Amino acid sequence: MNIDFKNINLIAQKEILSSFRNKWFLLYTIVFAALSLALSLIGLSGLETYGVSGFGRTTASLINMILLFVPLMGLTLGAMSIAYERERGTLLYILSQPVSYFEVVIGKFLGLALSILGSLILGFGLSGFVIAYKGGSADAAGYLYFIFLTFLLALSNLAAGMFISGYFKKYDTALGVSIFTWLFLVIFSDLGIIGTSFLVNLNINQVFILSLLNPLQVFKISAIYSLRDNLELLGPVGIYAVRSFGTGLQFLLIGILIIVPTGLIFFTNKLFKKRGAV
Amino acid sequence: MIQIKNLSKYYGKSKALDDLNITISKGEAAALWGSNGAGKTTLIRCLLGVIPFRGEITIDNKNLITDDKAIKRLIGFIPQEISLHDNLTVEETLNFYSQLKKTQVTDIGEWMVILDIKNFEKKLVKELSGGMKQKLALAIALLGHPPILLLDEPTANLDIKSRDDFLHLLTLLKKEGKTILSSSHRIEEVLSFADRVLVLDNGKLIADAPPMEIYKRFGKNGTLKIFINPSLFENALSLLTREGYQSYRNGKGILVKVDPDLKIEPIKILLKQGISIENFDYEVELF
Repeated sequence: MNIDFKNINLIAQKEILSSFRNKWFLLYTIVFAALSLALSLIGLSGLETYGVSGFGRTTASLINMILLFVPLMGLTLGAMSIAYERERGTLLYILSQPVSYFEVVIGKFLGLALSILGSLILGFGLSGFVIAYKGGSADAAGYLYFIFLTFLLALSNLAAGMFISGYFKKYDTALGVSIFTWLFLVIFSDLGIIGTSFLVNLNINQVFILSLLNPLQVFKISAIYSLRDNLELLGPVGIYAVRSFGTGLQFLLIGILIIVPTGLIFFTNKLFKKRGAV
Repeated sequence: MIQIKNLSKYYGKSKALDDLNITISKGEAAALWGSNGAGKTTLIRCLLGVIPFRGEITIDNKNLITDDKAIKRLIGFIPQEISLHDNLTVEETLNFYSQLKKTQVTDIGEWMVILDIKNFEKKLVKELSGGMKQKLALAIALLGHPPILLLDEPTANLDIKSRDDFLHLLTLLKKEGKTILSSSHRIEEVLSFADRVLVLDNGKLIADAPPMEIYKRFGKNGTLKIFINPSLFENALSLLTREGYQSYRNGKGILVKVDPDLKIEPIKILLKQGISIENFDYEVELF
């Protein structure tokens, strides 16, 4: 396959430009920035009582918000990407030019990923600025690592959204399925693991493996582990994970958050090519 | 220039194109004619390589499957529905497609001037009228001076003036030596630019002949659309029915079934009775 990186770059640039003129994207960015700022201010309110680890406290309070918000952002923006353009006919126009399906998929993915990164940096940046201004500058490295983890979480969900978008011809359907996927990942997968482990008497290793199938769980485990250096907060499964994988656990979790979007984008390309531009 | 061998296309179980074999020579202007659902749009999409198909398409001796990028550089395309990115400006849109096509930047300015869209370059695409969008689509299609033009009902959404301008430009492009394949269901358009007409019916090529020959063979019936003041609809309909014309109301106009050679007669009848006509259009029906 002859890949033209200029085409990828061009499509990514167009995607970034379109994102910043997309009301949904702007709304996500504003809401994320406002929530991050609010949570960091709440986190800092106990600064004098609990010490100066402002970034660590803010990170902890941000985890739950991110688990809800970032997957929704990634999934819905990804779901809109291909299906919307297919339905409107703009994909037909782009693909009638000397550009391959692969270049379109990668260009769109990179453009949206960078747009989301910009949105996350704005939100985290505002929080970071407030924390630093208030003097809670301890654990800044951990905060940066947390931003990196959040970006990986966004990539997994963006890729999942694009896979959905590549499969469904109708934009409404793709958006609906992406919201259902979000609900499943956020709510039902937790309940599913609990239910399944009761029903079929899963051992601790199996429960841990099941958790790793959900990028949100992977993010949560990695984020908590980076904050506390242990996973006692997650109960026996957390203790088992640390004992089994030790220092390799973070690498395993990051590896999953890299492999998931890569695999999903690979299959999105196959699916997209099979379905065509219309 | 364009060779189509045993081309078939299925949508699920339904056959949209049925074993087509067509050759279009360099510099030839061919019109695709057929009723809705005949397979015109599907054929053009296959030639663009944007939908999977069975069979073989070679353009300029290159295979569409193995050499699609090289082939797409030879093609300028205008779809039936102009769907460009609404939130880009005219200038950004032209830059985007120019860079995808790897054409000279000077090309953009040249076509903006020729097509009279220079004053709109900072406008968002969503702010353009239908006619302006059509001009922008034409400018995109002509970027890089491609030797082949694939046009899918390019005048379908244009008013009469814009349609005439477009057909004039198409005639000039044909004189420049471009190979043109354009679908249309308007016989007057086909007669104005095409060297030959390919008639499709249910995905099959049922005729391939010069326009006049096709017109004589197939152009037996047509529909005259007359636009009048809605308050005069009932009066006009009863007049036409009394004179033996099959006519009925459709949207803002009256449709009258009439032979192509007699299409002026219903208009004369209405004018004679003092019913003023705001506009009219005529379409030859294929079958």
